[in-house]
Amino acid sequence: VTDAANEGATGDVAVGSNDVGADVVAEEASESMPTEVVLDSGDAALTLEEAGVLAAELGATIIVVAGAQAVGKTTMAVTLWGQFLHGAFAEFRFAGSRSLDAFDQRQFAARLSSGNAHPETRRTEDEDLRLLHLRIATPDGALADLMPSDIKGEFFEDVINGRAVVPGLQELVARADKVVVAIDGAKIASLVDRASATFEAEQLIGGLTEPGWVHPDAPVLVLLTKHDLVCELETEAWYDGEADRLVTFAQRRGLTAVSSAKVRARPIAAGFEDLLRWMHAPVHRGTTIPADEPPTIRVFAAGVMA
Amino acid sequence: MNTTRSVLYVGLPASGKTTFLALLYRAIVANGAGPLQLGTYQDDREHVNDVAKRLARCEEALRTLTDHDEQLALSLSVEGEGMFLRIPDLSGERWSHVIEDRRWSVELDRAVAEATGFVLFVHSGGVDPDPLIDDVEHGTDALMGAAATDAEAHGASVGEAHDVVRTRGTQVALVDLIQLIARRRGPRALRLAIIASAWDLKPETLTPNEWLAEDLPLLDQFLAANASPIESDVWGVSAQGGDFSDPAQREELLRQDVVGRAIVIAGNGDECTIAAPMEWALRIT
Repeated sequence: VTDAANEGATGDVAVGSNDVGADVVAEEASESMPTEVVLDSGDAALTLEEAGVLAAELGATIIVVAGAQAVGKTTMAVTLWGQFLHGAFAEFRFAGSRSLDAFDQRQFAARLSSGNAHPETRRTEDEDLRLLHLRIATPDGALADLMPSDIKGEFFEDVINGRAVVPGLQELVARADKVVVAIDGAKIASLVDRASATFEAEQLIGGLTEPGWVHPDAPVLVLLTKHDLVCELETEAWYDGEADRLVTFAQRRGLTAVSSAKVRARPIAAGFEDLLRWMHAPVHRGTTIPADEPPTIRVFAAGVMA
Repeated sequence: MNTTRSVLYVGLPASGKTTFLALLYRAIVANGAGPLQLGTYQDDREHVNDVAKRLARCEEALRTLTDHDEQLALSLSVEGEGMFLRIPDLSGERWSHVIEDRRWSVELDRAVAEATGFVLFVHSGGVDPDPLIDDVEHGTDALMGAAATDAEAHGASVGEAHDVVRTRGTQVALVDLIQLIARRRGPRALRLAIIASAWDLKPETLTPNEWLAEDLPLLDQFLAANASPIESDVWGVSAQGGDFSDPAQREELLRQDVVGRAIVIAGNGDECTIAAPMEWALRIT
């Protein structure tokens, strides 16, 4: 009885308590006034609505990370954040994150405490379009906000296959300041799968560069993930040729700032310094946006996207 | 007329919050807390007397219960001015629940918004780095041994990931908490004294500033990058002065003055008074 009385007095609803009496007091209290304040959505990344508000408030750089299933999109974003757990990274310092718990949750399966024998990254299965947030500080103290997307690969396979896309995806891509087109190094390492992997990337670039999608001046990075799996020189040379071809293809499709890079998250992360610098670099938009730009692009930028 | 100021102690379980509260109270009563002097003996001091008694007997502080909100509430005289100081003795579990549940009570919400300052407690020898599997696999054989022990400590057996509750590394949890507090404060400045407790366990050559950079690099970067909205400073504190579980040390400590045996080291390694972190959090210095 004493515990229940204390629980009600503190206004805390049965947090950490198995006392049935405490639950009752809390429920009675909640009928008249709120007893708790919800702080954020925790390990879920930011919704489009939250991201839109934040992007408008902070002037964040929105980076759409596109690619098929299991290409390593989430691993890329989480590994980038994870570099700061050991100290300043490249020339940047960690300055905060509105999706800190989401980063941590996505990294958990790669940590010893998960009990896993081998590092993993949980597949993104969220049906919503979501974004992560990472604030970094430059050596002169300036703050920059990066918002990489965390969108499941199936949604980009719709773009690859020319199917109808999930609502909001086109608007998000059109609003994106930068786009990463990720290619799976595991498939490149396979003689059977490698041609299909780059063909899919070509289809993805083609779909993303249709009118009303990627802004022509948005920097686009053709990114090879799991570079550690590409071991043979012949494979590396073959891929380099394909990457050049994809860059040229994207330029022919009207993009003005296309480049390529390679990263590996495991066993020791590599390539992420350059990736972070690319994400942080300022964007110069000289190209006029087509007059038939979807109105939702402007709505997202204003931070009120539904 | 007394001004009321409150300081919130923030920290995960077993980070030394209650022990420091007991030491501070003892120091105030014994005129050993610099400008913080007891104004009257009329305030309710039962809880702080209880925890101070255990400290004097060289007994570990009892774990603060999640659902019991005790506090230190004292009328003080600070350089001739009256001040009513309130420090809720919040349990570490309460802060853990905030991180896990992403919510806190309306009372805590109000306390966060209104606090003059905050003191963040971290057990200097209890930082959990929660390493990556890859980090361990590429370490030495000795590290492999440590990793296995670490996995067992987390309640997991390698290769069995089912139903394992997510743990968070200490520095991620602390940055998470500070961000939640800072966001609640809005544009109001956040003054944060960081106390690395059990400092007697650390090498004498190590300064608290160095410890923060080495053991909690994410927190160190975060504070440096946000130095304007979040004013922070760090101290190494041993409120006990030594290890109570070691019979020989305990006997030696029992012979010493309760306040005098405590160790307080400023960020740069200089010795300072017990009240220094509180003075700083209260903007008295």
